[in-house]
Amino acid sequence: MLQLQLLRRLILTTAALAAPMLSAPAQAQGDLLVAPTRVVLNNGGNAELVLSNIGSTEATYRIGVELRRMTENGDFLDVPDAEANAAEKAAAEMVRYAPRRITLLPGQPQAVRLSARPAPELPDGEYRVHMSFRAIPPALSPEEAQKQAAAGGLSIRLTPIYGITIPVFVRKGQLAAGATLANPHLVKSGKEILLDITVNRSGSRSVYGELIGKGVRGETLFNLRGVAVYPEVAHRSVRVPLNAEQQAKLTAGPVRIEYREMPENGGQLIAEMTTAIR
Amino acid sequence: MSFASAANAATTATATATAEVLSTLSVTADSALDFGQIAANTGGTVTVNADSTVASTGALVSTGTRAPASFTVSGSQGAMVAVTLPSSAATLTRSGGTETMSLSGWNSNPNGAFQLDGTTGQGTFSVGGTLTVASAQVAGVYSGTFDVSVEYQ
Repeated sequence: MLQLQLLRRLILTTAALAAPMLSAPAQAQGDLLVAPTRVVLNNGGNAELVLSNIGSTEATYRIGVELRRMTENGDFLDVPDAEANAAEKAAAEMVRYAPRRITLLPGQPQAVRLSARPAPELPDGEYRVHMSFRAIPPALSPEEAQKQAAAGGLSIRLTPIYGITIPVFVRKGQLAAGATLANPHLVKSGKEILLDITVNRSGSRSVYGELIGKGVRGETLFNLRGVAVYPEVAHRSVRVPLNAEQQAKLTAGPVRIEYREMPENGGQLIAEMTTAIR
Repeated sequence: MSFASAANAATTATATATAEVLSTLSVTADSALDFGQIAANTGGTVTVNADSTVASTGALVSTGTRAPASFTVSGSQGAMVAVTLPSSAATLTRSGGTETMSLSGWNSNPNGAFQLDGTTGQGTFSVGGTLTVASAQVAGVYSGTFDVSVEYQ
């Protein structure tokens, strides 16, 4: 319970800090905040997540489990239930959570309990679901419906059911993974210049960390936090947006690129390479 | 597990504090996906892309504001965020009727994963798509929903 209290305080603090920055976009019904944003359960276990209503009105949220696959560009594809493979089905079945529906006042947080236990007959591996937190849109007010109907022609009312998903990893057995970096090169996308890096993954689980670029004098040129490669892909490309200054420094001499565990996970080096970039 | 001892409490506090680095993610809706007013006789498509470009096919006349849906994401500075778009078409149904229209060709801008600002920890993205209108589509208000979600990569 202490952990939840700390988390609540943390979220309230974060929300308070974020408030001035959030004042530009109009707050809509259903805006939400979720913490933490990643859960790893080794051989099963429990976790507690917190969902907070950061909108300006009361809202109802739906909590669920979804499946995603990573592409070689690092995008996520939604996997409909009918297309789930055996491992994805097993992952969806082993995760238990409650509640599944929450109505919250503005600023109100609520804990969501999560547990997962891999069945003994399941093969060793990393099982993953994406827990989703989505606002259920309010019904259209009669006045607005009438106004829209009176407009004539075809009128379209589209409501986004938007939310946050967080990966939940259930690891069974002793799993290992490694990575290498390859082929860093500049690419142009519209007016933007990006550094494209390939991260190759090996082993039986995902890898996760930050990509850091360092110049000849050891100065940090870029730092991309939270770069994951999931087990369904053997490699992916990561694109780092660059401003003119970063671009000049990156092409001025040899660059050292490091892929490290996140600082909170010890910051250990996973892969590195030193190369010239053009 | 017990949090009775001060040492335990301190450990927990430290763990929570360090986890803060990537520990929250929020999303707010800024504006809706808007196809404007459509006067249809012969059917066709209206496209509102995430990059705000618009297009139409057939003899459709689309007027008024046409704009993609836009969202603001707030989280950890410099973190990568991925957007998941609907995997299939959304169906819109006429209020008080059974006629439908479909919305597909989902696209987002930025296209794919993007990085939150290194200073503010914020980023915005837009979502667009293509609406298919049948010939002799019955006039009225068509409503539907689509799912969009964000996740730290």
